Amino acid sequence: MGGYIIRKLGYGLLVLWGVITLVFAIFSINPGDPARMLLGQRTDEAAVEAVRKELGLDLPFWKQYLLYLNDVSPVSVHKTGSPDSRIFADREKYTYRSLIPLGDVVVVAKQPYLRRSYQSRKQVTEIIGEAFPGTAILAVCAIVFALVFGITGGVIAAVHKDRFIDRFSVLSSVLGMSAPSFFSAIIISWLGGYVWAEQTALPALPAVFALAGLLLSFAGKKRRGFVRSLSFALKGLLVGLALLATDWTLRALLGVSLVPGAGTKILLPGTGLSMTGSLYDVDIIEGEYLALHNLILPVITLGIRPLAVVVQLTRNAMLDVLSQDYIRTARAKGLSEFRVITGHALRNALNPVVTAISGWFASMLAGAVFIEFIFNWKGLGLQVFTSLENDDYPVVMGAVLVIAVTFVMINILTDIIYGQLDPRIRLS
Amino acid sequence: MKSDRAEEPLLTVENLSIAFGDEEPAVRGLNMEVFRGETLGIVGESGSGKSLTSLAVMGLLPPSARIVSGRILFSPKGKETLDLVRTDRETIRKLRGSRMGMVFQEPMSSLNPLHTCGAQVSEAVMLHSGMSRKEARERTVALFEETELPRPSEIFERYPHEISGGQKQRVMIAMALSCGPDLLIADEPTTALDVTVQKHILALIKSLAEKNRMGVIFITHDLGVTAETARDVLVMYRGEVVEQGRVSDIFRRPEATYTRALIECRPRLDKNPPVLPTVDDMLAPDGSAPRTTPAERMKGPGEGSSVLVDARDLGVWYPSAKNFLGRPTAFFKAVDGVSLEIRKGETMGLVGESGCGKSTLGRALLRLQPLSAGTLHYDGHPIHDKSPAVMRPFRRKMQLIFQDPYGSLNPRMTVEEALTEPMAVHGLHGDRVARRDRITALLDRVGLPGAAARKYPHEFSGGQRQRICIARALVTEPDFIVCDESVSALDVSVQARVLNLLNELKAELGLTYLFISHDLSVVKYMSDRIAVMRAGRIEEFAEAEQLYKAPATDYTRTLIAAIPKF
Repeated sequence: MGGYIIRKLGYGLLVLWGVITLVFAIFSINPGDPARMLLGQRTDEAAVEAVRKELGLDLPFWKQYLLYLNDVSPVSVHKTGSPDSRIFADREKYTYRSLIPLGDVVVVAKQPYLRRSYQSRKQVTEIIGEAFPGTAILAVCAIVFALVFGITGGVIAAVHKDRFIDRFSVLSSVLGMSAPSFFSAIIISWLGGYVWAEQTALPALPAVFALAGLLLSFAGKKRRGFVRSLSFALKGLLVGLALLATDWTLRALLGVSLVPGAGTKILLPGTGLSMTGSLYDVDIIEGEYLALHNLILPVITLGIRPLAVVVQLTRNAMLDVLSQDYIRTARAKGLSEFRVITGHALRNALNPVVTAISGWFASMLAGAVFIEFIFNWKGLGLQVFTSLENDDYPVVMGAVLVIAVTFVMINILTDIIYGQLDPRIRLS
Repeated sequence: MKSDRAEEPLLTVENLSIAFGDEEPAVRGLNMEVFRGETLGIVGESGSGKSLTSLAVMGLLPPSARIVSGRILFSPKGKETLDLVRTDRETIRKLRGSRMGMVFQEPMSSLNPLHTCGAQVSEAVMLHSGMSRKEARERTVALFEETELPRPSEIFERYPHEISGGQKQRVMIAMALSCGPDLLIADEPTTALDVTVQKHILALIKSLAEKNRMGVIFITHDLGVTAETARDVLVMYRGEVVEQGRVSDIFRRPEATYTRALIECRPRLDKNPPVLPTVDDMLAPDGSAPRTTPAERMKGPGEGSSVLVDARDLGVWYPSAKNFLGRPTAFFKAVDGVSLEIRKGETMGLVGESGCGKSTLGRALLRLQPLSAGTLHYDGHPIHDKSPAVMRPFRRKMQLIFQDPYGSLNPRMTVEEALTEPMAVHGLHGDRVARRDRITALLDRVGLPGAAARKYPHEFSGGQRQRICIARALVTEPDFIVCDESVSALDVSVQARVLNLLNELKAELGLTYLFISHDLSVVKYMSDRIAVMRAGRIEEFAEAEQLYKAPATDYTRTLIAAIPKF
């Protein structure tokens, strides 16, 4: 296992080197002069020349490339003596620790230096460091949302194959899959943050019905399994939502409320949700504060498509697994249906889900441009979008590198999870 | 069947009928009794309803099936008698695994691949006995010892894919026995295993049943196995019991025609009829008497006949360890220095236990497997070093019939497409019309109607599919056919018909066969000479009669002794 991971990491480094080379080549042949972008309207030739020199844009291509590699690599060579040198070990640029001092030259271990933004002159690492957590939290929440509801939904659908609950979840997951994110982002933001801004403080009615469904499943002489209880709760939730929708429509059209107390809400922090907002909101008096409720709408938007895919994959894999001989063996042991499904069927059904979701998760970490843009969520996608608009190449190149690193890491992680799930493909 | 014993039966099934939906019942009016410490055999072919009956007892019927009528009375130790048809599911669930255990046919797929063997057994122990994890572990290791697994505490930690098929079946038996059940149902527990392993498993089940005073229901399609294990036997045919009674009586004086047919249509070591009787022949209204003649089967070609396939020191090696650069440093030799001469017009038998390399050798002789060592001549031409392009004309002459007629036909190709493809590849029989004629003729020859050409594989039964596979092999007019366990997946009656067909075709077309099987009686019936393989090498090589009458090696003697006899 250890050897395998080391080998994979080695391959990962090769991939990253390839990505660096490609990205560097693409942005070097790109039209648009960063020096002019930097200086804006003031087109003094001498000043432009000076900036070009400072950025090293006057050097031959291969030299620029080697310098960039040296900057990005965690192990690099620098000069200590001459501050004029392009590879001077400048504490302003590098956070380093020297490894092998060789007179004038020193080999150092350092935090990769992704240079400075042409626009803000801030270090790219700092800019990405600010944008990435927003994206990461959004992606993790969305994937957890998709996995929890998707796997539960898929299992319930498989257990109730061809019944109402199965048809319903398959149909709604097809709907979820076919909604493009720029569209669903607009709709969800508009509905959740504007139309229902008052109501999105979680209406109490469906919650009460869901709870009632859950309680009902425990009532009666027959003992019911966990899955059945869940499906009862889900049915309750649906009835509640339907009632609420009817009530709203009636009130809007006729101004009468048929269901007393339909408008009651369970209060969330803040009054309802807003159309846009980031992880940190700024309050005029209190300054920056954590605004977790701003996560809800973008997480739903981002998670809805993987959720739909997970429902379908889990359902199909479960149906396949439930017809296997070892499930019959598990039943012959006298295990309850719940134990058969959770202990023997589910783990066998998870492999396709892991495959599908890992790639999806990695691309989510690259930032969801549409969603971040529409919800004005400060994340990597939004950052890359604005940097591209401004020809701010160092930021874009840095972001691409970070994304490549996440892909490599998630690939390795997926391989480890495979091995944990299935001993037959455990790696030696 | 009236009981002749003093004791009350453990399980009484009265007038049981099971149906799928509103269809005709798949099991009709079944009666049986199982006593403690005794084994009841249920014999029948696929679709006879024998497995359905056992699943009904366990309360594990598929959702589409339901019990139409009847009672299943079960009297576990120290409890009152229950009618399992009218007991609620939760009560039956608690009886499963504790008072009644079941062993299934496929040990390969009956264990969950993601849990260790130990965890799967101790799960049942903990569930029913309320033992702690540690106690359950000790009990499981003790059970593994009882079922004669080697190194029980090591097997506890192993995953199913890491142990052999026989060991898996022992784990399954340990699981079924984990809570000392009153009733054990074994559904074809040895069908997927080698004869030598089968012998041990049968002995194990028998001794455990006697020791623990368990009632056993032993389901099988193999009469020989019943003769070895059961006291009473029930013969089922199309959902009905056609005969029941003491095993010894039924074998000596079978009353039902079907029972007689089952006994007759199996190839036997001591008889060699030219044509095997089939169940259909015997059940036909006019021909209730067997049409067999006592004459011996025609012998194959003698010494003088020329050699068709000549293999010298053939080797097929798989790398088992690699060095840092990925170069193999050690090999697993699946075929290790095998020399074999197959004469024109003979049937060469190849037997051995699973994993001995017999299938690999069969494929190597067809150059379907890269050779690691040795030379191979076909009809005098060296073919061991030929490139795929040069091999093509030879491919036409060498064909293969696989074991699994379900897996070896493309489900999305009609029979006609499947048969046309080889002709197109080799550019045979000119245009489409001529090819279609050829297909009709071939299908007719293997006993299928011409209309079969436009159908898809799933529309045929197992035996019919194997006929299609034979037709596909014949379409290129080959001289040499490798039959790799070609009848192993078929019911005995169907098997007899396919074997007859293969022999007829051989006589008609002058074919040469390499007949690979783990079933020694079938190989003996088909072959002129037999090679016994063990661990990649040929252990013994002799004329068929000679091999059975005077086996030269201990290994062959063990194999022959392990065949159930009746």
